[in-house]
Amino acid sequence: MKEKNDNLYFLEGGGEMGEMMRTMDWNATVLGPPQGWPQELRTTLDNLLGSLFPMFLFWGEELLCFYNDAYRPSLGDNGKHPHILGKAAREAWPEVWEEVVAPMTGQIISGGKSLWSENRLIPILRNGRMEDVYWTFSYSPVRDSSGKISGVLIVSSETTNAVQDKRRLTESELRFRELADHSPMWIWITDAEVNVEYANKELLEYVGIGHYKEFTGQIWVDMVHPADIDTVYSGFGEAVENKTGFALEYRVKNTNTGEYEWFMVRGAPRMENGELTGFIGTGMNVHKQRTFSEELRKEVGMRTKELSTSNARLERSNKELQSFAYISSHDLQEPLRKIQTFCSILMDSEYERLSEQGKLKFDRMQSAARRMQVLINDLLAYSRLDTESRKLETICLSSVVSEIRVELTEDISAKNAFISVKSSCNIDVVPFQFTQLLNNLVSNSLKYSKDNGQPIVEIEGKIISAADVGDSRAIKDTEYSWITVNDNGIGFDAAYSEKIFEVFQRLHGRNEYRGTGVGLAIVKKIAENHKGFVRATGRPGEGSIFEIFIPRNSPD
Amino acid sequence: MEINTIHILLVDDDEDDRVLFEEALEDLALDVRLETSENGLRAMEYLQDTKGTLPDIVFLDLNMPLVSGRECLEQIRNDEDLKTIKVVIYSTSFNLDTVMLLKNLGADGYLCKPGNYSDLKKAILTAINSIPNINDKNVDMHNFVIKP
Repeated sequence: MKEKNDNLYFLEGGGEMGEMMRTMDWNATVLGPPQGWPQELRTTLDNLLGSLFPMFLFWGEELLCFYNDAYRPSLGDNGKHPHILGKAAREAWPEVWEEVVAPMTGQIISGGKSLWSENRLIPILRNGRMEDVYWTFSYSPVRDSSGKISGVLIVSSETTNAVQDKRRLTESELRFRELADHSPMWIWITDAEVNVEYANKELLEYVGIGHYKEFTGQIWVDMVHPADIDTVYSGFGEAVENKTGFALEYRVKNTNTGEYEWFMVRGAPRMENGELTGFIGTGMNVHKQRTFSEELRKEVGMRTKELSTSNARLERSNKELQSFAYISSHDLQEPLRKIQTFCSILMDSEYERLSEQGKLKFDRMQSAARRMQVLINDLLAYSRLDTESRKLETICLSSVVSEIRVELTEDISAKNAFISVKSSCNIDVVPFQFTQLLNNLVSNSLKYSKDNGQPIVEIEGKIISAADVGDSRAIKDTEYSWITVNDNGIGFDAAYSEKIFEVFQRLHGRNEYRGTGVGLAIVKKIAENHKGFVRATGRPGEGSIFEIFIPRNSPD
Repeated sequence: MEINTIHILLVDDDEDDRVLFEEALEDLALDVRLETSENGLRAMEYLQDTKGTLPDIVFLDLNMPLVSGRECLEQIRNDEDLKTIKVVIYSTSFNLDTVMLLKNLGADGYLCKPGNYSDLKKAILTAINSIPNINDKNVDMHNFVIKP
């Protein structure tokens, strides 16, 4: 059973260590029970236990160990605590006795000055192993009333974490520098006034300075392309003012080559408590991309120009072709008309005097001249389609058919043809052009009718939506007038359904059917002039269907 | 010169057409006096010189060197002394836009040269019979274009 120390004010309180000191059996030590402890020990322990700052005391010849609660964490677990309490220093700190404790306490006890050490590495045994522990401490003497030094008080604080943090920081800083210096990009840091606080090797070498401290504002003035300097100033200025990041492209002179190269410089603001402390950023050499895209832009610009030039050329040659077609057909008309007129004079006055053979040849000559006239008229009409003024009017299909019936009276009665309108609709067209279109289609049907049987031409008109047209050429969301001309004539092979709309394409010998090969081309062109299109389907011997689609301009 | 004689001026640079026109008039056996000019410049000189005995009708070809038929028409219509002369355009071509334009410029008729002699005679006859009697400048297109 342990003896209780009574009236020991200096051992009161003190937490865990106080409790331990009170209950410890001091009789087993050289000190004997606390009642007999000298005043200076009492006073020092009173201070030690009462302090919240880590303290350690070596006492007496043996340098017996005392420490407070605040010191206790530095001893760790599975180490010196609690058994070194009251132990001699040599036994308690064998691992550092020779190196540290003996010389330092010795120096104090021999009357030397108090010692101060900062962040000193003193590895100790704790937590079951040797640990590197850093300390900041002072060693100071404890004297008795006679002035004799009887102990050494250590006020100490473990700084391992702080030292390690600092070291980690330094290491991470070093790592950053190393990383940054190996970066092919520029890496830089500035303060809030955009003074360079760091610049990596790549950047320093590019601008030709040895250390970022030489990186003054003048460097930018010297190195940035004069045309871009305003970009740099205003870009950084805005970023400072708005506390935002930025991305700027500007040219910087390469010290080695003296050439300006394009850089994409990006910066992000560094903020502390809402205040801008500077920028951290990068700079990427984008010269190749930039010059490449510039060349690309130039190339595209050049190609576009070439394209528009050739477009203009095409348009011009198209116009020239048109006027050529017009002029040539017009000028061809002149001599032809005279041939015909003189022919008609001869016909009236001299025909009877010709032999039968002569009459036959004369007839053939006249018929050839007539065909040439039809051809020239058709060509003229075809070439005029683009140049004539066009004013859209809404007209009714059935009224156009009535007009055509009159125009084609002779042909219709000669062939005993039947022309019917099954349904009618409105069409937005240039009236005389559309009349010509329908005229060409109907006369086509009459021209290519079968030798036997009555020619029947059925005309239909309906309004349908683009979706119902079922043709890629139809304009979306547009209504169409859909006109079909259906005949029971000789038809044609489906393989020619496109070809028959081309100029001078004829599917038949001239002696079989008379046609110039322009009529359907005119049909197609007129439809296209109205932003519409044509479709033809036919089967040999079974007739043809021609479909015309004209967009509605003003739906009724 | 008798009062009833119709005085015609034909302006055409094409000799064949002048001959055909002349023959047609002869065949028609009308009481006409025909003058011809081979271009617009000559025609204008002629008209300026013969003030007082102006022709009743001018048949005017369009496509001519030096002064075209159209310019000729404009000069006639802008001349106080000549503006009342009847002018019939006499051309090979028939382009609706051109026809409209000439009508607006003050032509009295448009005769498209036919490719048939008897049609030519008929058309000339129609022109001579109808044009001098037209006083209405707002004649419609149907009557403006002279058919054989």
